[in-house]
Amino acid sequence: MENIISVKDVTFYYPGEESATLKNVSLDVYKGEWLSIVGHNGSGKSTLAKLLNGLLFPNEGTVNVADFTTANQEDIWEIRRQVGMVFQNPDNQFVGTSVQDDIAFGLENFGVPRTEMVKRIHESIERVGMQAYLNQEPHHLSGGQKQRVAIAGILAQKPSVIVLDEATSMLDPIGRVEVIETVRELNEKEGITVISITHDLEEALSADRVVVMKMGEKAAEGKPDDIFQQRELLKSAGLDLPFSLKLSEALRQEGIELKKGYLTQEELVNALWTLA
Amino acid sequence: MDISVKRLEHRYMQGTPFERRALHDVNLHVADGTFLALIGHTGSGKSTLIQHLNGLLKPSAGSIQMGEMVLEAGGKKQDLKPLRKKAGIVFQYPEHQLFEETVEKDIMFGPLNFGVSADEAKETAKKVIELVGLPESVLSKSPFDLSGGQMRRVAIAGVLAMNPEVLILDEPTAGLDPAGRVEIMELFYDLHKKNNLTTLLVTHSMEDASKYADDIAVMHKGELYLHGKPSEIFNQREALQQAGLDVPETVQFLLKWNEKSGQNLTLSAFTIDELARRLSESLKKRGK
Amino acid sequence: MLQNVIIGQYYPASSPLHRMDSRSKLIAAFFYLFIVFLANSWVTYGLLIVFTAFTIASSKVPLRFLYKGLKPILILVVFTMLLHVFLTKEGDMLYKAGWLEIYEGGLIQGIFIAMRLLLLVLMTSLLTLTTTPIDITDGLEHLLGPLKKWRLPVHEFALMMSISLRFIPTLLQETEKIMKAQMARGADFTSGPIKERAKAFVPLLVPLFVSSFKRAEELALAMEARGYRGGEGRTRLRALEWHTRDTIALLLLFVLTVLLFLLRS
Repeated sequence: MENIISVKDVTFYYPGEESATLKNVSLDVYKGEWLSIVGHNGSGKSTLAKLLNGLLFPNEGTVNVADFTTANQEDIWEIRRQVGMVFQNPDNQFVGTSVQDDIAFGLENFGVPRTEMVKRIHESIERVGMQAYLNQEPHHLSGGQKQRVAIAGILAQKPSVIVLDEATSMLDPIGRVEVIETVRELNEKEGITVISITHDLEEALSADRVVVMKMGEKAAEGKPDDIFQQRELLKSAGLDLPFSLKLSEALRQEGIELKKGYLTQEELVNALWTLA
Repeated sequence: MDISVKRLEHRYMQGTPFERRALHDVNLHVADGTFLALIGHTGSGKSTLIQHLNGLLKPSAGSIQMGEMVLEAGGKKQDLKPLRKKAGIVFQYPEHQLFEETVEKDIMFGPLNFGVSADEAKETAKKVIELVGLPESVLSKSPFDLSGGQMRRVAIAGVLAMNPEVLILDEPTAGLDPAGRVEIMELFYDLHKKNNLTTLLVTHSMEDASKYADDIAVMHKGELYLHGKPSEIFNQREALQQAGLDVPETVQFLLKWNEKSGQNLTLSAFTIDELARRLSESLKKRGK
Repeated sequence: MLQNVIIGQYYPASSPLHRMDSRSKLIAAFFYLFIVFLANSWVTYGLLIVFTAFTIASSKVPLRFLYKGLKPILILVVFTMLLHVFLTKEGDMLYKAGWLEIYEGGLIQGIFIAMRLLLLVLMTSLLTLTTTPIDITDGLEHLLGPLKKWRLPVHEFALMMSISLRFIPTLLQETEKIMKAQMARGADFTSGPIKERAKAFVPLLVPLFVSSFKRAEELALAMEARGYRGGEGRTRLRALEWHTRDTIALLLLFVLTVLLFLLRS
């Protein structure tokens, strides 16, 4: 598969800190995939996210996006255009005084002509289903709506990758679904690559691939099916188990002979049915 | 402390063009020692309701009785301090309220405001910092040098230091990682049992509601929509869905199983272990 | 509590004045500040009053709303008027009671000064009532644009303004939230001696500062992630459009100025 981002042997220190936040991390992100990065607080996953679009720079190693590299100062702007970031706090990334002003912000920075800007704003706002709110002020929007505006702002820049840096962790359940469904559609229909830094295991379950971060190192990488079977690994990385796996486990302890831990409720119901 | 809310109505910005009714005809009784979960989606009126319970908002109509004290619409001004001392609120993201130079001073803020002596407040600070699972050495640190999770614990300690009889928790675990979430909830639950508190938990997590609550109140569009034992509430999936909510995952799973197997199993508790027990029982019976 | 505060006083409506370009309104208001001082007779003041009344009428802002905004400064207007009435000793004496003497010149001057103040305040309030703060910012950025040549940070200033405007409601919500949290911990913001009360605000201000800094940091990062690198090479979505009505308005103002020059004594 074709790489869109490759991280090679990256080590990163925050200035003034003695231990490295990221230690020798290598990672390939494939074009069009949904990659979830999970790990406990302080595992380095958010730092990793900020290295992907040149907000931070590695002390050792390289980060490449398509044909560009963050080591090259001239490439940074193209990298930031291609790799859009949605941050955790919906309020602190809303720059404009209204929805359309906010979507325009990135376009203005990249010097897009006004007529083209208007076209792209309308196009991208529709893709996140917020067209009814074009002139709305941010304090009248819910958290989920603000995050969708942030996504529209990124879409308008015609990106190839969207990075969600715990973008749903401050939202209520409805907001969370809104945002994830929006991004999922972009991923499936338009082939935009998604990298999601998250605590939400149910979301990670439906990813194409999962990376587990632990104490600044990459502890594991693979398909959700494989990763979530490794109970000890998840526990040591400070992660919870998804519901269906926990239930599989509990059923086994009750003496029900399941072949493996099942990841979804449907699979588990079916497996139980064959036993009955 | 018994809590009794009668015909409560609240209007924001009353008398302006922006007037908005946030609560309407809410009647709710919470008996002393109850752990009540208050659920409902954003904007349903949960936060507005709990702010009435220690006088931060005044009723536009109706009344609230907290123990002996009665707060009425249009009632005369009264000293709210005794009430606020007894009913502690842990707000959403409580770490945002930290302000003192040291953790100790911040924890002492509440007790000192309520007339406790400095020595006594210091003693209390030591006790509560341990209670929230932080070492005593943290007391002399600046709260702003701590990690986000530690700051949350310090803020919680600041509320517990007032030794409240009623504990009101507004999504106390929002934004924490899964391990932190469980620890904080266990902490509150232990305290609830040990000190015989009356606890109100505002939450979006049906799992937490089912795990800890004796009673569940569901808010929807500013009204009290459902109120009852968890087993009663979680039997009404359709009603919950209409309020933008759902049943806990254990119930969701059981419903899927019932549909597949044609059985009609129910749960008395909503933990995964209980679900596994019910399922295996039923499977074994069939096997015979 | 704080939600009753109405910021910027913008009165939403669709009037000819609302639809004017913010640049022409800014120029006109600024210009008006000067020509008000040209008036020095009943005729010239009458002219200004007619012009101002015409502007108010074309703004569709209800008089009641205008009056509410005027109320706080009415005391000042009356005070200045009385000061002139009692202290200017010109022309015929009209009234005398003990040490109190009122002269005709004083009375006329008092009335003129009061009118001048009222006219000034009315016109400037009309500017903010019919123009959103963000439009005013845009207008200022355009008008001050030439100053960039002298390295004045006009773009940065305008961005700062617009971000502040964007965050005012957010900070108000936050203030209310922290206030409530501290009140729940027994803080009292409303009673006690002044010194005590000032101290009581520390638990409110420190968290507000801390969170504002955190917001600023996160916002800066988010802006950088979206390719912000200063005003250089930036395009703008918000476009100001100069219409015929703007030209007409400025022409009217010009005619008024000429008339004032001709008619003043």
